Amino acid sequence: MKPTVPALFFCVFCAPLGAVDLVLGHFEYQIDYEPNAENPDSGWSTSISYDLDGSFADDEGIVRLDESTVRLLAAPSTRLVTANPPDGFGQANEPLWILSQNNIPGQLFLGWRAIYSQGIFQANVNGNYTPSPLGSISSELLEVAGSGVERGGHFAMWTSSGFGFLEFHFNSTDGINSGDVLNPIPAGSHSHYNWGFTKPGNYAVKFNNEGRLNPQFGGQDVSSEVSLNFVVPHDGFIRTAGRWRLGDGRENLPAASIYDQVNQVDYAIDQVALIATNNRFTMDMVDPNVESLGQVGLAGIDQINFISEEPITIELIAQSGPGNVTVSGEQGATLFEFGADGIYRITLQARQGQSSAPPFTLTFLSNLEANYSYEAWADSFERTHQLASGTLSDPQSDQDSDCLSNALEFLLFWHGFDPAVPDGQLMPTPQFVDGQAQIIFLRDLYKDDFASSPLELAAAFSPDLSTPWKPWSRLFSEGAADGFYEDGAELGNEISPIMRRRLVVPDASPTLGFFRFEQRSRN
Amino acid sequence: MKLTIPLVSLAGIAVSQAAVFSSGELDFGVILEGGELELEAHVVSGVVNGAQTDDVEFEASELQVLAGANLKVLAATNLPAAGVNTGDDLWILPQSQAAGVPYVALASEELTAGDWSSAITFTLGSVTSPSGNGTFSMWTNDGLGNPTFFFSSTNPGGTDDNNQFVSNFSHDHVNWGFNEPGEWFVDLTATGMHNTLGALSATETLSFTVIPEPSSTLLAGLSLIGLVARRRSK
Repeated sequence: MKPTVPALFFCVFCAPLGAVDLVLGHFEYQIDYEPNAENPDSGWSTSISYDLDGSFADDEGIVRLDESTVRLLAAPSTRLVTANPPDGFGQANEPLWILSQNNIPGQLFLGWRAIYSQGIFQANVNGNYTPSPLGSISSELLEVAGSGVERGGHFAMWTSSGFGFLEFHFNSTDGINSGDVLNPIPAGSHSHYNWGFTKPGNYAVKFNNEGRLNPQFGGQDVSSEVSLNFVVPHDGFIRTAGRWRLGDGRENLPAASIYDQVNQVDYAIDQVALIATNNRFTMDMVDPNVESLGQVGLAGIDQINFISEEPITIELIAQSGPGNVTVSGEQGATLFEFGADGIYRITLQARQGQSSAPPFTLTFLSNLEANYSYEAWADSFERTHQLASGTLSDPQSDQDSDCLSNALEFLLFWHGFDPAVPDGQLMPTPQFVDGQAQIIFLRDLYKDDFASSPLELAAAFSPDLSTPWKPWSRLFSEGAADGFYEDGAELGNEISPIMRRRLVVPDASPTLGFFRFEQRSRN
Repeated sequence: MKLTIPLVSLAGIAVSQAAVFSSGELDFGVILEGGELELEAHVVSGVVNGAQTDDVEFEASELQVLAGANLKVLAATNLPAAGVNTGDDLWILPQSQAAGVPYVALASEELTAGDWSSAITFTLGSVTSPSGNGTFSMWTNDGLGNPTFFFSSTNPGGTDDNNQFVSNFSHDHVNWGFNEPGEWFVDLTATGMHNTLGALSATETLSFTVIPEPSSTLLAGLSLIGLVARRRSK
């Protein structure tokens, strides 16, 4: 039996989404130009586009998104480490993230399309213009900025064809200069490129599109600047040592966050795995009265209003895991020691005098990696609850009879599910965000990478339980055709494989509806 | 619609097809019409018989794709799947768009994914090469330049021994390789399992003309060939 949650939707005031996270599917960076004699530079328009029927082969059904509202996410599966990176881009045995020129399932397939009409622009050959019945433009890289760059990251765009010949069009590694140009971009052309990044973080990539109009359109040079926003995921885990800071938990914001000092990333506390190598993890706390986390912060976290001078105590509220846990202070830090390998959840609460912050739960993986398997997960919970080995081996069964299969509790792990405890109340429920009926949930791409993982997490909707369940698309463009789609809902400005996502209810939604999560076998 | 047309000589290669595609974007793709799967050639934007042609569909067997002499490269390494050793000639229609050359994809994006219980599989059939011993191949390169071979007419020992390419209702640009000049005929079959119509397939013979050396007579020859095409139904 699938869990079904009634969802009351009051969508009279539903507003269109203001921003979109794209993580998989075929999209195009699209350049249009319509001649405007009075103001030639105003003729440009750019967008991130998709096609409602999935085909860009004709002009029908193409939807244009304002590119400034779109974040182009590199799925974690785009990460690779190689001893032989492209010449001049990246370093040997260091990670690279590549949005491929090939259409790879579970990844973003981002093309570059110029759909302005033939005959508007002159032909641009190596910077020399000549009137042309076809015409072309060029695009120059102006700037790459963002947290990825601040960490030393670089951006490049290139093609690989034939015998593997790599042709770089843009590469910020050696600085940005006149050689960072894509030229020509013929009228009506379409191509796919490799988009590469060398560090996690955000990349605002600014281009200048330019061309010279044919004489019948005035013969002027026209140009337009445009920025594309890329996001490369962090690990989603911290190894051995971290730092927490406390929040007040208001308005669905976390009661604490975890700061990765090495990578300068602030994770929401329910989106980070703390890996206890050798069964030990050390945590220290940022002084709440001295906020100094720098520019990379989790948006919206307010510091709890502690009174200075009084000591802050952290109280252990609850714990679960396959072994004993020892929590001790050590030179101003808190040391967690685990008696056995496995998955641990430890709930804590900060107090200062009569003030207290909301409880929060840390998730530790003791001698486990963040990409732990279903089998490792099952083994850990079997030992936690003294169940016979193999009790949880069937992903389709429901050990705790809470109408959630073992597989579903595995996939939705970050909501706190325990396969041996009836805990259906943890299922995410509908809420309004900015006037939009949405269901916020945590998707772990370590467990379902959108492509090759054995288990797949899906969601479905029915307006009345008698109408067949309709799948909620993970692919923005597919879903947009029917209105049901999944989008990003991150709290901060960084992402990791443990993503905060939202199921978006169609604009013309009913006032009552039902949704459910489903697990599917991919093989 | 089948055509009867005169032979036209292009740089010493006899061309026996109705229309010659010489540059731009072309998709060999499948559509569903009248309950049957059809394999067609869709010129997205390119040059057919010397004339700019946009958004026009041809029967796949009616269009001849030209691989000009400028697409000839010397193999930098032994590539058995492409039938070449280091230093051998190989003509490559590239998977990346370049001015003045064909940019050819395999596509199934015009089908509705939800109507199918399987992806669409393209399978290489028989290949007729100019000498009878040539090798036709098809592959993609990843971002590091590493090739993954899907088709090889003489050495299917590449990544996919079955000479198959799976198209997940998408649009994939690939490299097409020919190891000798002349006229090539390549049988290609598309198959898929439709939810209500069951197993469907379509087979067409694609033709390619590989030019050994630059020829100034090329365009003149092309202009003699009439353009026969059917417009896309909107």
